[in-house]
Amino acid sequence: MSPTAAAHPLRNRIKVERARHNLTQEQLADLVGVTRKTINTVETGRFVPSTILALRLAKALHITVEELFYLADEQ
Amino acid sequence: MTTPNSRQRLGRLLDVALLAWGASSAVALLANGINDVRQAPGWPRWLELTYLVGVLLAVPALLVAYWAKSRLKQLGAVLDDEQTAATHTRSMAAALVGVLCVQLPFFFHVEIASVAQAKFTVAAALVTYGAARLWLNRDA
Repeated sequence: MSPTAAAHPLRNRIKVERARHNLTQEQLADLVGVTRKTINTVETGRFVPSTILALRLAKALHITVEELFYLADEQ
Repeated sequence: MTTPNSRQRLGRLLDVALLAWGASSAVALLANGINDVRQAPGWPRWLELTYLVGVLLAVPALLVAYWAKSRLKQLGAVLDDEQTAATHTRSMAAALVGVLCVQLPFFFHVEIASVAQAKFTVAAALVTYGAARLWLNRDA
């Protein structure tokens, strides 16, 4: 685990859900209206998204926010 | 016809052009500042060449960046969002540290011509801001 990932207890299933929907980072970025870099940094846990972005990501991937994001100690 | 690939290529071109602009501007400012510190008439040939290369790269790089950015806007690409805003804020903090470091000689009574100090300060801000952005976007 990287030091950055350790500092942020937020985990996510974006990569898995992207693969399930056969979406690239670029395509998901277009769907939620952000840059590809944002998807990448959220996916790798280096950037904690705002509530609005988390809701948009969950909607785009057809799951709830709680399913998409979870705390490390709830793993 | 525009495709996501062409938008991605334009995005990369914008990144490269901005990097080239920042780096060459910093080099030109540093060369100019070093020449000011010398306080001698004329330019040494290598320093003048460095300065000219910096200026000659910075101007077209800025024009390319401007063109790429307006083209990306026309294509409806998202250029600024909450992550880029956060990266900008953190890079500005790094640039402030860089600027403060350049002022350190003043506290140790090291005399530097203020005209050179100003150029070194701007160059340090450009370099640390650019380096911080590169670091924060290292894998993205």
